[in-house]
Amino acid sequence: MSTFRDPEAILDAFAVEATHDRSTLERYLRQYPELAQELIDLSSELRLANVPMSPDGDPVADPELETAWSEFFGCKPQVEPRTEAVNPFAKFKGLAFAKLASALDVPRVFLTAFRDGLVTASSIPEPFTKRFADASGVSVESARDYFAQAQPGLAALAFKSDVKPSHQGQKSFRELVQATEMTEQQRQLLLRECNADGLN
Amino acid sequence: MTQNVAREEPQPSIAPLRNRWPDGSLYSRPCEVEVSLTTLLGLSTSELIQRSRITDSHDPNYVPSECVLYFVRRPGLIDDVLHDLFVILRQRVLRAVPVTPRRLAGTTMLAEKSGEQEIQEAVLQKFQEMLCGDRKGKYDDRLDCFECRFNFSLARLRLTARKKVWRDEFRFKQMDSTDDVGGPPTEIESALAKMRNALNGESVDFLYRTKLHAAINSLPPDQRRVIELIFQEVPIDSQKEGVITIANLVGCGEKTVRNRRNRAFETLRDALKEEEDV
Repeated sequence: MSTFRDPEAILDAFAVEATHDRSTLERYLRQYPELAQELIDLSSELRLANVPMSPDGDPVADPELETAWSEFFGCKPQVEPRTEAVNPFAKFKGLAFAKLASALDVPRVFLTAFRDGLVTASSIPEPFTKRFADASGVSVESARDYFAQAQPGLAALAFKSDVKPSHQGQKSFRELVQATEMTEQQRQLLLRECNADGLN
Repeated sequence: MTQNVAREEPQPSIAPLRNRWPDGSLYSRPCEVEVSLTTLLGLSTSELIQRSRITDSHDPNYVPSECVLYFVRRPGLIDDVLHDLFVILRQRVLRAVPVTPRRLAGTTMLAEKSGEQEIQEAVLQKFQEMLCGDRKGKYDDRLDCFECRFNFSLARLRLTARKKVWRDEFRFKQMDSTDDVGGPPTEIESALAKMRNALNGESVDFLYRTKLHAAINSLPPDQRRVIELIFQEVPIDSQKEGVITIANLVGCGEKTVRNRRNRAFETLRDALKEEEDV
């Protein structure tokens, strides 16, 4: 049976598989039965992916080409300074912070640990990072960078702490889930994300 | 146009992908794509453009679309080169999502916009959005899928667009008739097996395959799913525990599955009538 995952990522992964024969399809169907219809539709679409190419090789009409090029060319790369990670928590203070925790379905104290750099970055499961990025309106890359660069103590300086400042060492994601008071449903969701990412 | 793709010596390494599989491991390009990129990075930009313009995928110098995208995504190319590769990339998308022009009967006028055309426009638009976002610096993980398997990833976009067309075309759920339809089961099974082989075989006549693609695309979603599962050789039903069956997957009885299969077969057979004996 499936664990919590992003359905789009699963369908992307199925599309990128080297083959889409019966055994590949069955593997996905068994693992993600809730996506059966999407997987069958995608399997059919992939069967037709090798579109027969006309032998003439004439260019296909592309009336929007110049507009598309101008738009693409105008999208100048925005070079972001890599020395300092964007702080995704900067705009989430007070009530906004509580709402962010609620959107993620985690206790505030749990989220505080991420804000304050108290969680080992390598232990944070990708599905949680993605959920966090979506909820906080930053890119997954920015969220990863912040988690990787946030240091215990430093990040906390910018905020009023709402946890007892007794221990500034980093914990793994799983340890934090187990040590934080939360509902069983919340705990199971977070542990499923952990398991889904193969993290101990 | 004489800029070297490598731009510096020694040859630069290939930029790694950042997207991850559901198990958390990083995507990596298929070996053949890596090999092609290694070769292409050693070429001058004019050679790269020249090769990228080749449309015959059997040509030994053909540049896979995965590689064309690689160069469009990475900064550093001069504007003219980037423009040429961008044009080529759009052509690759357009060719992979073809539209057969429909004319009004007895005239030279084009019929109103077809579902196929809507799908092509939607796919191109979505791909453009992804390219633009990526170029702005918001690295788009989904384009990593295209750098691994370009046409398969386009199929993902095509399906999303097709579902919208389905919603419009099959707005009212079709009731499954309880009447038995179709010919003898063994003949149908054998004819469907031939069609499946034709889809896999590149040596099959271009027109036949094109018609078969169009016919499958015209099927209602319920029938198309049954046909796909038959092509995958999933059994219609089974008494054995734990066996995945079409009846289970589509959530209906064996008889309904057979009727859907037979109706779909009739549609495909009629569409291919002018071609060889199905």
